[in-house]
Amino acid sequence: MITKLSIRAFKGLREFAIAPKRVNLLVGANGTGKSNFADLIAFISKLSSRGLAPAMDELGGLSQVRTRQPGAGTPYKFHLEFEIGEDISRGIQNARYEFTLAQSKEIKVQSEALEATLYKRKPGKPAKQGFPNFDTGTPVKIAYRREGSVIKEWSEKNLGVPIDEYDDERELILASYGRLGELRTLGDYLSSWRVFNIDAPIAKQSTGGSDIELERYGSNIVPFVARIIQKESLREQLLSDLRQAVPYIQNVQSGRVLTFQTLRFTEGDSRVEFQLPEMSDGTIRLLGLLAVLRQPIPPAVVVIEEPENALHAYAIRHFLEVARRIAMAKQFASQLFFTSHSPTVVDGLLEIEAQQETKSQTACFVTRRQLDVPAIVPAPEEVMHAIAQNLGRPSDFQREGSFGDEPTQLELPLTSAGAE
Amino acid sequence: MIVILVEGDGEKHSLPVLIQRQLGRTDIRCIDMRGKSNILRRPRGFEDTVRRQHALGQREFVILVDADVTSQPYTSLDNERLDLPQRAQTIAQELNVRVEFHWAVRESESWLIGGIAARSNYCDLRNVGRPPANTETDPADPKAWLQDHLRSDYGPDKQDCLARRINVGEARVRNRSMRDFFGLIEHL
Repeated sequence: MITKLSIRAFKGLREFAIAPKRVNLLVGANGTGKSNFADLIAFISKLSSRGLAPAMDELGGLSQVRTRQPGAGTPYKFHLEFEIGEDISRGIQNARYEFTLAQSKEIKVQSEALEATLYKRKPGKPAKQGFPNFDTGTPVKIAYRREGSVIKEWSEKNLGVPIDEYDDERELILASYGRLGELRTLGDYLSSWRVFNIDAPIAKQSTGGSDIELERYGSNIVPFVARIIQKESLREQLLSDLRQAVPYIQNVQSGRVLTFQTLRFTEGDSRVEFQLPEMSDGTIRLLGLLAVLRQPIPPAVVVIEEPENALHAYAIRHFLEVARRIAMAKQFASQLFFTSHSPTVVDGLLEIEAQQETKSQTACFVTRRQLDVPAIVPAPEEVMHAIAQNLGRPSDFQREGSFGDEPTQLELPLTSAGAE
Repeated sequence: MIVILVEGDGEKHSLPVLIQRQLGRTDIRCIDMRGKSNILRRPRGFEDTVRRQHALGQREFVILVDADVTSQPYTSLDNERLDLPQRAQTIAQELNVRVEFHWAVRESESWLIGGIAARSNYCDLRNVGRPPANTETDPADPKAWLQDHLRSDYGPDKQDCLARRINVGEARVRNRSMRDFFGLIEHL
C-alpha cells in the first residue's frame, strides 16, 4: 500500500505530503481538490501503464496538469514522490519512486529515481487467476537514478538492459521498462490502481466494452459484472451484499437483448425480471462498486468518489463494512480512499477505526484550496467526530475554519493609537 | 477563546484586529457566516454553528449582526430584535454555554468611520473630512460613504486595512454600539 505520497503542482493540488493508511477518507468543500486527488491516483496508474505523455494528455496536457502560480501564471515545478509498503501477495517488499519535471513548456523529465525491493516470481502454478507466486526468500533490489537523459545509477543485472544514456527526455524509465524483468511486478502493481465514480446514467447505457477492468464512470459495467458473476460463489457473494441495500433482488444474471449484452435482475416474490437500465441509480452504483471490491484480485489502490451518492444510510454502512474487509484481507488487500461530503461516511469510517482489527488503519484528510498551505492535511479528530454526530457536513466545518486552516495569530504589533 | 459569528469576510478579519488593538485580547475567533440570512434563518441559523463549535470545545459565543435594514429581504428587523436574544438564551441553556447577541449600529463599517481622522490617506482614503460625532446615525449608508472616500473599491481587504490603521479609541467614543461591544468582550 502507499505509505507516503507527496506531490507538487498537480492540477489544483499545489503541494501536499501525506501518509495514508489502509482505509482513507478525504473530506472538503466542493472545489478543494478531492477529485484532483482521484485524478492523481489515476495519473500514477497511467504513468506506469501508458507513459508520461499519454497520462498527461488524458488530463488535458501539461498546461492543464501543472499548477500555475497566481497572477504571473508561471507554473510551479512539478514533482511526484511516493513510497509503497510491503504487499507480499503482489510481490512487493517496498518501493520508493520520484520524478521531477524540468521547468519547460515541453514535457521533459529533469530527474527520476527508483529504489525497490521486489520478490522474485516463482515458476509454476499461479497463486490466483494468473497472478504469479512470489518467492519471499529471494528479494531482488532494483535501483536507478537519472538526471535529464543521463543514467547515474542502473541496476542492470536485475533489469537486464544496461544503458548509459536514456534516449527520451519525455519518457519515464518506469513507464518504458515497467513491463520488463522483475520491474514488471512494480509496473503491474501501479497500473492496477483505479478510480471509480460510477455515474448511473452512463452505466445504464452500458452494453459492451472490456470485461477486464471497470471504467471510472461505469460505462462497461455490464460486461464487467457479467464476468464476475460467471463464478457461482462470486455471484452469490455479490447478491448477498446487494440484498443488504436492495432486499427484493433474488438473482442477477447476464443476458442479451438482440445483439446487446445486459444484466437481468429477478425480483424475489413476483419473479418479475428487470434489465439493468430499469434498476435504480443507487443499485447500479452499488453493484459496480461491490463488483470491483469482490473480484478475486481487486486493484491494489482504489479511490471511490462520494460512495454516498444515491445510497441510503444503511447501504452506505454495509458497503463500508465490505470495504473494510477487503482492505484488511490477508492476501490481495486493496488500499482504499474515499472522498465524501457525508456525515454517514465519516461515521462509518470512525466505526472502522474503532474496531480492534482496524485500529490505526484508517486516516482522515481534508482538502484545502488556499495559497501557502498544504493542499491535503490530516483532519482533526474532534472535527471528524463532530461531523459523525451529524452536527454539519464537512464543508460546514471547513467554512467555519475548524480544520485548522485559519491563522491563529494576528500580525504584531498592533496598537490602539492608529495611524495618526 | 471567544467565538464571534459575523456576517461577512470583512468583519471576520477586521474584528480580531480591533479587539486586539483596543483590549489586547488575542483569544478571538471570528466565523464568517456568509450573510445575515445564515445567522437569522430559522430553525437552523446561528444555532447550528454554535452547536458545531461547542462540539469542538468552544464555550463563549457572541453573535454580531449589522442593524442596517437596507439589504433585502430584510425591510425590518423588529421581529429579530425581539426574537434573537430569546433564541440565544435557548441555545445557551441547551448547551450550557454563554451566547450573547449584539447589534452593530448601523453596521460594522460605522465603527471604522468614527476612527478615521480628517485628511487621512492610508488604505487609499481620499477627501476625508472630520468624522461624524455619532456614527450610529451619520452617515446613513456607511458602505457608500467609504466607497465615496476611497480611491479604489471598498471590500474586505479595505476593512482589514482600516481596522489596522484607524484610531480605535476615537471610533469607540463616536459609536455607542461599538463601546457596548467592547464592554461585552471585556467582561466575557
